[in-house]
Amino acid sequence: MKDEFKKTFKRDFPDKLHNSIMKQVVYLKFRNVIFLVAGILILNFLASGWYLWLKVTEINLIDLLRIASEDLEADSTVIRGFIQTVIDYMPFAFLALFLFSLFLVLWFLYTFWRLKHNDEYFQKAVLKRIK
Amino acid sequence: MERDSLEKLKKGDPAAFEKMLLEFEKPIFGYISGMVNQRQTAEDLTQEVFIKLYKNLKKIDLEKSFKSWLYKIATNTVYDWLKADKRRGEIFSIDEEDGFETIDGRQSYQNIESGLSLEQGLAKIKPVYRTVLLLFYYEGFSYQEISSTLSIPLNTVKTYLKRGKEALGEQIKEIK
Repeated sequence: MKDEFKKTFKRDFPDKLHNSIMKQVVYLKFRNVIFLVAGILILNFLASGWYLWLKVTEINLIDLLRIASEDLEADSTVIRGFIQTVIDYMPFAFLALFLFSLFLVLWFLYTFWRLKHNDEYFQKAVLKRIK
Repeated sequence: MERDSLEKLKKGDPAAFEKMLLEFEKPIFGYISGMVNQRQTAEDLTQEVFIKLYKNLKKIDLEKSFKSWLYKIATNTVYDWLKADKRRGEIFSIDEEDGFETIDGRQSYQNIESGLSLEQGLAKIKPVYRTVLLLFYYEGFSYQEISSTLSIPLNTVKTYLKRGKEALGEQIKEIK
């Protein structure tokens, strides 16, 4: 009877089930760290973006850009004046911070998407490292 | 599993968890498949069992059998699923579209037929008999292991096994 049971209930194990379980386990293990890092990144992105937006509106950068684009015959003095205004008033450290956090947010999202949908990448990037 | 691995597992070490998963995922999937007879449900429940296990790793008792504890989680998970829709527990027929195919294509027609009747017969008996029969004949558990897994006395295990065999025999006769 044992043989008959073994033969009857011998199932083909689903390929993706192992990785699917491990993905959830790894996520549960590092969930707090992931939330913390993602939270800091998003906060940083929003704060630096908001500060830059305030600066843009403060120096009427959009109007300046519109005028410069409309005035097709703008000579080098106008362009130099525009660039000088941007250099004088735009905080470049914040601009760099904003671009860096934007890059990290996009990288974070892409990596998560890849980890979720690409089992090979998950094996290589996570499972091999935890062994 | 060795005590050393169990200690690491208890601490939530993902590598130890994967080692345990590799050892038990197939037998647990086979056991659940025998209990529910629907491939997708069996996959979902297998996943649920191991996630439940992970969330309760701290409850591992190093002095007791890990295998029995894991099968207890699996059994309770399946029973909860059965209870969630009582109809499933009563009718519990083989879903032809979502059912299982035999792995070995070379099985003779007679073997397939007897396998199917065993599968159909098992699906029609009480879940508790099905559990005991699967643990004993498919998983190779001893009476003692079944008793510890299901938290029932040893004599009850023997009684369930005897009644389960009788019920299964009757169902197979009816099918044939």
